[in-house]
Amino acid sequence: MTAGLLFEIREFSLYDGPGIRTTLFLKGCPLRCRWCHNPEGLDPRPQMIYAESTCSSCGACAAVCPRAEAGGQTPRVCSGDDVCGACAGACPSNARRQCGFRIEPEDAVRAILESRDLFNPASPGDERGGATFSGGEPLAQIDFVEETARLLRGEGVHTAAETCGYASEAAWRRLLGAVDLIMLDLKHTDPSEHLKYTGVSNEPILRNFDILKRSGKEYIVRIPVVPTVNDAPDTIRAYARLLNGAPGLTRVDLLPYHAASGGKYALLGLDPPAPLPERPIPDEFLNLIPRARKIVS
Amino acid sequence: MNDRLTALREKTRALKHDPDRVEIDWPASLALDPADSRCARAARCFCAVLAEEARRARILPGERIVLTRGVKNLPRRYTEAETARMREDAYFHELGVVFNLTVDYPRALSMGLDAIRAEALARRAAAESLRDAEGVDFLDAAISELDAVLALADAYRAEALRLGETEIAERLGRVPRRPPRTFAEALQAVRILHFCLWCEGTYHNGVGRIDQYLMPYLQADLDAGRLTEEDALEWLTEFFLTFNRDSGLYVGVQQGDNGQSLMLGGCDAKGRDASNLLTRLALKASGELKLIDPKINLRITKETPLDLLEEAAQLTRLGLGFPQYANDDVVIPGLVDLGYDLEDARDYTVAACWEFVIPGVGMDIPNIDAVSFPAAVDAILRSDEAKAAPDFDAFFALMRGRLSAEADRIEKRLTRVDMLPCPFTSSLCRGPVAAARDLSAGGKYNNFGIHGTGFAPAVDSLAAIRKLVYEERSASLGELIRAVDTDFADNAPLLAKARRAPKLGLDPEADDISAALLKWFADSWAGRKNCRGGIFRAGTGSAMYYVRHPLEIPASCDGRLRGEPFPANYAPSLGVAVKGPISVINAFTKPDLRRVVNGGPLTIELHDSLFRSPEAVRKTARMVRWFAERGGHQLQLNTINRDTLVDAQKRPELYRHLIVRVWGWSGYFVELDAPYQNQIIKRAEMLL
Repeated sequence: MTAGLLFEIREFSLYDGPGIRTTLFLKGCPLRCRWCHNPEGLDPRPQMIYAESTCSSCGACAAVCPRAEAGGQTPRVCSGDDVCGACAGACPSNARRQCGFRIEPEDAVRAILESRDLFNPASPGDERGGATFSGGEPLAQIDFVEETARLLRGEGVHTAAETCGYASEAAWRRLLGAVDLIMLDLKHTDPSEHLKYTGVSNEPILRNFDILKRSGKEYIVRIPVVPTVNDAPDTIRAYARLLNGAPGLTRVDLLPYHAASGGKYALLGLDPPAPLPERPIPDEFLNLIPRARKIVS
Repeated sequence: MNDRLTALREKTRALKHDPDRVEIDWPASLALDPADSRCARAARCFCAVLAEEARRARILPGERIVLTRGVKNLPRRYTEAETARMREDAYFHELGVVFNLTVDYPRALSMGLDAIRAEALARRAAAESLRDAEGVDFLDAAISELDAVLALADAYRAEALRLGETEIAERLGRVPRRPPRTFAEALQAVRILHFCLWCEGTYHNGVGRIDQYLMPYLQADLDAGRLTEEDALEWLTEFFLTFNRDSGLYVGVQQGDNGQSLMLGGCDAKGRDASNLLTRLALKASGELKLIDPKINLRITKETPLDLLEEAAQLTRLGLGFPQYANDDVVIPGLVDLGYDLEDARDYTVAACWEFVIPGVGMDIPNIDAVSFPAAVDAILRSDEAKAAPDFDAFFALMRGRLSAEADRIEKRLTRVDMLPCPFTSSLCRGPVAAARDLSAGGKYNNFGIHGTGFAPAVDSLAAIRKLVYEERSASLGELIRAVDTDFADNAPLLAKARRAPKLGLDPEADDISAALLKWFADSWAGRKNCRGGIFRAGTGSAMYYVRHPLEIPASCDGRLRGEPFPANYAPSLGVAVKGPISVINAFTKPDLRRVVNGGPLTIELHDSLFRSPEAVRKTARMVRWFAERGGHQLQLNTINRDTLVDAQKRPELYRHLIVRVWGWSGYFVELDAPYQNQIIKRAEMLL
């Protein structure tokens, strides 16, 4: 079974790799980063989400909900492979929506090929676009990613993956073989700090990074610069040691932290993480790390 | 923008430029004579307005292009009783005057009003000798109105001299009497003419292809070293600002709906690309000003250089809701198919929102009526023939007859269409003076345009009927009728199924229905002649009917509940979670859009965060050109953010300058009525 569980297919995606792209957001992630901006990508099961701000309290959801309780209330959120989605169909104000749908590689490819004309550079200076696997975590659904990427390669479509690198060596090697461009997030250099802020150690990630460096592949490293978490001078120097002279490294993207991007947590019935102080990305990153650039987001 | 313009802009936006503007009690000051001919009545009112304006001529500090309305209201040409009598005899569309047009600015500039007046005088003599009383009557009116315009310019000239503004006075000594010699004179001339058209009551009048007809004047200045490009930009920016001076008086259905549109780019009479320096300067000026007027349109083809499209996309990034793009590759052949001469078709502009018309010669009424597609679906759903339909094809085929019946009904309603004359407006067009007849008697083109509203909800309803009734057989027609009549109140499962049925823009399964429906709509009007000697043109616009038409039917089979609005113009239904602009463009360019060149843009919302990096502008430009490659006819992009809109509803005082694209024009969000605001918020919801 190679169907993937996605939470969005986004066309005209301009910030997930070169050119104009279509991004597949895969649902399910092994990390729990405290600053996660895509919390709907965490749970590897379909979920119903609820936008209180657009809800008109009309009760249409409760009327169709098999899980409605005696008082006629639809659960605020629910998840699982058996979510029925009836409330989303009944809701007149788009307050209830299903997050997560299964799709076969062939169907995903069909959706991606709608944008094919726009992947091609319009003039020699333009970058070639394509498809990006993002998430969530693509490595967590490597069967789907590998098959979809294989079909896309057959169509001549450039592929990229935005990944945290946390997976078995076997899965990692399959991803490297499947896509043209790796965009690897390195969230921290220190294993115990990584564990503290993301819920997992970075040892498998660093091992996979070594494999990547020796693979001969070109790749981009992305660092989400999170105030107080990984922007101390020592950490920046550790990043510099890790990245200086890394073969195949084309660029280091420094992604800014935004406290205000926690809005999606409420949709999932989750409390947003405590905001960290926003501050500019330290210039040391640019001074010490080769080919680093600050990304506006 | 320099300090001078910044100050003028602020003053205009704060409405501090017109502290002395007065409301006049016209009936008391106009001696209306029941024996007046229509033209004489028009001239009497026009001359009275211009005399008042001349008395109140004022020039604000810092202004270089002058004329500001001093009078808020125009006189009513006819009493209510007279109007009622006229309307018993014939149908008068909207306010009943000549409107929705662009006059022949290039000709008016190159001749000057003196020469037009001389032509009118000569023609009057001929009419008199031919005992053509109607011709004499029209020409007398036109001549007196031209005199009033010249007197107004003289009054402003005197005021300029009084203030020591010798350069302004010098320009007014030249234009609009004689042809301009410089770019500045040309801009001042257009300002005067456009201003006076409004004073005649000619509303929704655009200024057409300014980059084409103003370029010779700019080029002469550049060649002579009188102006730099930077100077030209400053002049143009001030010119654009003048469109906002009096726009508060130009209210359409909503504030901002004033049809002060212009067209950039496109080709010349031979079909060669004619975009020029002024095309780019105009885009730049609009981006510096960041105001809703004038509304910018840009003609493109599949070969338009990306650099030009990038400059256009800068305005999209700013959230101005324009430029609106029109594709020459589709529109020109479409107009030729309808009988427009090729040279005229190559000169097209938009009337007010998106209705393609020919400047100077068109007297089309491009918005004379509208067909509601969902009402047609509702009607066939309830028909006896539907019950007998063995399959979806037989059911769907009923739409063909239904659309023809709608066309019959509208055509029958429009057997006597009359309009009131506008002699000054006519004198600026090609033909009326030579023919000694007001434009209201007919122009070179006298076609009627028919909007089609709720296209996507109708396609979605048909797709739902196909799926539920004829494929899955999970609902009967009777059940659907009951469900839409009861607003799905006791059938939530059916509502859920209807909502999950294929949707145009999301599911390619709906595309075949869309292509056939649009073709049948165009077919239903093909070959019909209207009562003014023209034909009918089908279009994909909705105008304001997207808010009105939904109220004429109950819920619909696509799961749209009672009272929920249709999308504006040619766009996916509200609440459809499309994947993005690409599949929407793919779906909406599948029908043959050459058949529906009355106009009506595919409308796409973009979230404002898309433009956080400058590269997004070039990529948006690429998408726009791809739209042309795909054979789209017209496109408008609306850059918005739901959170901003919701906050603006709560705290309007903080969002006075927030601009949104409404249905074919950009307006200030906080100045719109709630139903229009809410519909835009609904559009933005799908971008979350």
